Amino acid sequence: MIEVKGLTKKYGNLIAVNNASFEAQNGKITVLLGPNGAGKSTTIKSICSLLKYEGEILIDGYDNHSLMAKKRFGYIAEVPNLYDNLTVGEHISFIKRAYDVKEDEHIEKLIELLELKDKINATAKELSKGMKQKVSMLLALISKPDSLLVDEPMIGLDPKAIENTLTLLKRLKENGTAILLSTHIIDMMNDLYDVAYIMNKGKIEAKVVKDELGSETLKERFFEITEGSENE
Amino acid sequence: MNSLVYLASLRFKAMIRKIYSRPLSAIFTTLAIIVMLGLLIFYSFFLKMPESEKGPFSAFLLTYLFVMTIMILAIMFQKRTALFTNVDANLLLCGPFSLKQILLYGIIGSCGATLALCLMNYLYITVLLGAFFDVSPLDYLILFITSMSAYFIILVFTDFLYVRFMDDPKRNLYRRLIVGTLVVFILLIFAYHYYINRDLKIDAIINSFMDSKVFSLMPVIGWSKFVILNFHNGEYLLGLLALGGMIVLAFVLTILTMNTRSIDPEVICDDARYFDALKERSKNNSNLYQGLKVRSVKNVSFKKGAGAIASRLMLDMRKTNSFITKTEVMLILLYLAISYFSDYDYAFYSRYVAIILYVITLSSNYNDELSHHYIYLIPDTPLRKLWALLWPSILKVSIIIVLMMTLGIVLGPTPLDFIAAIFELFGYALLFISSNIWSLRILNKGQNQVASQFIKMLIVIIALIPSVALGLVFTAVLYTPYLFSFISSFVNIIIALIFIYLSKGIVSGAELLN
Repeated sequence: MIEVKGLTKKYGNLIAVNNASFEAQNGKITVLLGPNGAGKSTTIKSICSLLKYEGEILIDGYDNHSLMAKKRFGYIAEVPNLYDNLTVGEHISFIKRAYDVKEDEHIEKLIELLELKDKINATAKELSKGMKQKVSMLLALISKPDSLLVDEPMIGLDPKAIENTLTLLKRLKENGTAILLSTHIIDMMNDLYDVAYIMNKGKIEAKVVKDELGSETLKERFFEITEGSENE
Repeated sequence: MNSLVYLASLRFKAMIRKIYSRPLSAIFTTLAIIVMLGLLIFYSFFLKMPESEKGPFSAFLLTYLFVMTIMILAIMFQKRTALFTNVDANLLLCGPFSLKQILLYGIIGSCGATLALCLMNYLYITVLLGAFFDVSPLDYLILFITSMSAYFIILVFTDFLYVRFMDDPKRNLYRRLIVGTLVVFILLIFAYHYYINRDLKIDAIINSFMDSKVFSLMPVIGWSKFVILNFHNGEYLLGLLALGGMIVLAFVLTILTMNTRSIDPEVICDDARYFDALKERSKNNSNLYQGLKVRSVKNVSFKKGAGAIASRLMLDMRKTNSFITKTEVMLILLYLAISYFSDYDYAFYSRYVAIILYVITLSSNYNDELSHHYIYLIPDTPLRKLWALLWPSILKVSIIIVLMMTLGIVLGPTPLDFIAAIFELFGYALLFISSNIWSLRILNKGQNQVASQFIKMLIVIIALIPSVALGLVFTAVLYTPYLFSFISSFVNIIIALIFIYLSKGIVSGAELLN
């Protein structure tokens, strides 16, 4: 479970995230929804302890900077950030050892699901952007994280890969993983999300629970709140 | 053309703005300029040393031209060159510009590169050595003007060969062949000179070779020497004529380059992308000389937890053949040769090795590693992660120290000299590595190169003070010649460990990723 309390992130005078509080529960897909520049990626990066911020962030009750927290979450970055000279197989070995993962079975299944079998010996710089995104996804899941943070997951993927990713996320949710993902592609989230937090200009403007939404769609609620605004 | 000149001026302004946009960067850049210019003015007008204590101008010029030769050879032997950056290539090739305008814009770019190279060469030698040699204000001026002309000729010649042989896939080979032939030819002349003067010592032979008329005929380097020496000796007309000749040649090469009939946009774009990738690697402090080739390796294994970071770095080095680069090997052999032929003792040689260690530790690619998020997410303690990040560098410099000091046995050290030097150098190396990482910790990533190098150098100098002071005090009190090495090494290691401890936060929070 991910708990964010009073998160504020400033870049000089610019307030990228302003006192945001929310949570992502186990077995649920929580979506941070917002226009470009709303502060979604900054929020995700802060949770991963990749940025300095004000406020408190807990992963399964542990401070996100602690080792206990780091062992419990996986992160898929918006732009895949792999080591150019390492092959896919070497990336897998690296993360396995770094997280002290002993089992191989689930990794084999992930490789199959993400269709990476024939790319195992390819170096990262030989991969297309979509392939890199798949590898990034695979690496985040090697340690079987209890919480998964995904920043704009569908960018750069082909239709089949998007379908596989959606299947994967649903399967992880069924297994009890807390999934927090940021996106501005609303249509794709309709079937997927359980809870959505609508962000605009660095603030959490609304919480939308799918089961409580009634006849209104997520898209309608989103535009109602943001008025399709583009942030600076 | 106006719009392209305007673009060039805008880019120049943007560069200055970037340097002065951060207070620390602005302060250190200004400070570096003031210190360097101040030193040159001080050497020229205020430093009063007896003539007998100053070295001859010819020795100063020899060192200056030696560095210039190394830099020119590095430019000419580049694997690949490019005329533009990727952004420029796209803009120029798609925009409403004639071929002449496009090529002239490329030459304007070469002017900027000329100034950068010239300043590097000029300041490095004048600031370091100016105080110890008989160099007048006019010498400083002529040295600068001649260096500008020399580097411009080289860069425009490179551009000329590039555009003329653009259609030929072997264009880079041709350039290296032309220069290689010239180098071999000059080496043959030197070998002949060496043979007829074989009774003299090597430094005397080099000096007489430099004084010979044949040397003055050597393209660019010889011409530069001819200009500078004639001005120094009061032969202004000869110097002026030779300098004029160099400027005319630069002009002719510019005209020839601009009058190229056609260019291949695909080649230009391809090389521009390569150039950008190289620039990015340079920004990340990656080793530029390791090339971009990656070989596959067998027996890959990773250590547990933070150790996996060190394993990954080692694997990267194995794949790119960069544990010890060719440049580093050449540097080692060059310093060894200079020490051997100049009859330097083992202690003096070890000071040279310390300089090499400083240069090598500066090129460690921590920024590259720190730009990947995995290092921050790996569940291990910051200190262990930082140690894993530094371990390959520590291992590398340790091997280089042992290798160089073992090779240095030809200089005839005692076993105690050997052990003391290894200890002392290890202390320096650890201090350089830890200062490097600590400077990264306290500096912003956006800091410009001049400011960050200056700060790194400053940190190293300050960090060295305790070991030098303590070492000198203990040695003076106890009169033990080897004590200095052991005491300074011990103090340096302690300071290095403190720096490493202070830097541990660099792998726990990651503002560097921004």
